[in-house]
Amino acid sequence: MTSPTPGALEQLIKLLSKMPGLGQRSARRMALHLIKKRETLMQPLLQALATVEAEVQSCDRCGNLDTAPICAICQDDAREPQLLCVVEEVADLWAIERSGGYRGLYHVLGGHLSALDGVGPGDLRMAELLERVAAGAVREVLLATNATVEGQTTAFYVTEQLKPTGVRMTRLAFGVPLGGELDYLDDGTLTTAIQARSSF
Amino acid sequence: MQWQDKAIVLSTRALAQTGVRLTALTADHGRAAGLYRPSARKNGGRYIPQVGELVSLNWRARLAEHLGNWQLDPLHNHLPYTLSSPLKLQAVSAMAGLCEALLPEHHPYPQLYDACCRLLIDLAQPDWPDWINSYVAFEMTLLQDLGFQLDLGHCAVTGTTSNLAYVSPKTGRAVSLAGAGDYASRLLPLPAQTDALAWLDLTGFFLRRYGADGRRLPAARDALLAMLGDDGLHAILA
Repeated sequence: MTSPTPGALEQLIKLLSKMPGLGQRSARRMALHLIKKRETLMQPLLQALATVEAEVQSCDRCGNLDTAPICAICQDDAREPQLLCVVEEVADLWAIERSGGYRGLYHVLGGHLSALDGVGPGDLRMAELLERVAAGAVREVLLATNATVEGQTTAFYVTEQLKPTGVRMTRLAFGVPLGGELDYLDDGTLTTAIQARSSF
Repeated sequence: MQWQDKAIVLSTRALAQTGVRLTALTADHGRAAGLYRPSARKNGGRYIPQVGELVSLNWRARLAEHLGNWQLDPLHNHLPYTLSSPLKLQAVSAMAGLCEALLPEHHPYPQLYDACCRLLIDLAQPDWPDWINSYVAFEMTLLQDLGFQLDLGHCAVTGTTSNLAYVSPKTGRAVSLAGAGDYASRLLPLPAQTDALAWLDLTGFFLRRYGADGRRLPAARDALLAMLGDDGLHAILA
């Protein structure tokens, strides 16, 4: 039986269905929608994709994604250069930026240590981090790795590596999320919150 | 097919876009894997159980050889007690790594499961260094459940129970000073009762030879030994 969709469209659907969160059916709907909105959506999307493909790169300093070799965050003079936040992935950096509560610089490790997955220190951007801290401008390193076994193992490794530099090391607090109802919290989070209680 | 059990999470790996391939050491069904689909919590993000977490789970599949699906409820999380200690975190990773690498699937190991639970309970005790002995006991139990029990009660040559100083690398049996004779240089030293690091060297030797068929043991175990060696053992015993 011949396919009802032309070859080029079939190829587009196949590629779209490889996107996170999309299956064949959603990809088909998306392709049809793009064809319907040729001028208002498909052409701007094509341009945006071409621009991103040609221009977006990893920041040489922090590992964030930007169109310049040094990203906008690293170039921002209003930020506090003595405060450096270490995160696992670019998505974590974006999450902290969305919060608006942090005005320092970042360093993206590019993952976490995982013995099971064979990810060792050599696979992370550790040498670049040591170089940045050794340069002397950083006074405090904020470890914002995930509150998982791998995330905390990575945090301990970073702490160990940076110990000789004498820089102040801090990490994100663990505990009750804002708007959180104690009744719905898991035992682990609640126990951690109790252990890390503060004066009030 | 369906069964329910208590289990210790050994590993979680992302599968497709929203799923997680979760492997666990269950109390009555041994090491088992399945697909877990995390659901959003009311007060937070997706709940993905952590390595070493104790959970109650329900495995369901059409056939026994299928990957199957997990439904689970958390029972006990060690993270609040281990987050502040790199050594304890590494011990959890080493325990999970060894079980993941060396145990066959769907074969019950109730003694090993109990040894893992004891270790996790000991790790949750603040300022209590005895967890290192529980870790050694875990590796001894693992060795025993893999079919190679160390026999350290009496000398394999003379039968005496005193002056035991060596262990045979072939049989895992103790040998006394007198019994060793000219073969002493070919035997492994029998560690002192309190030398946890030496015990781990001994269990590591047999786990590598008989558990892993000569292959390397998981990197997490190597990392634990390295940390214990760097004065880490003295730090926890101090």
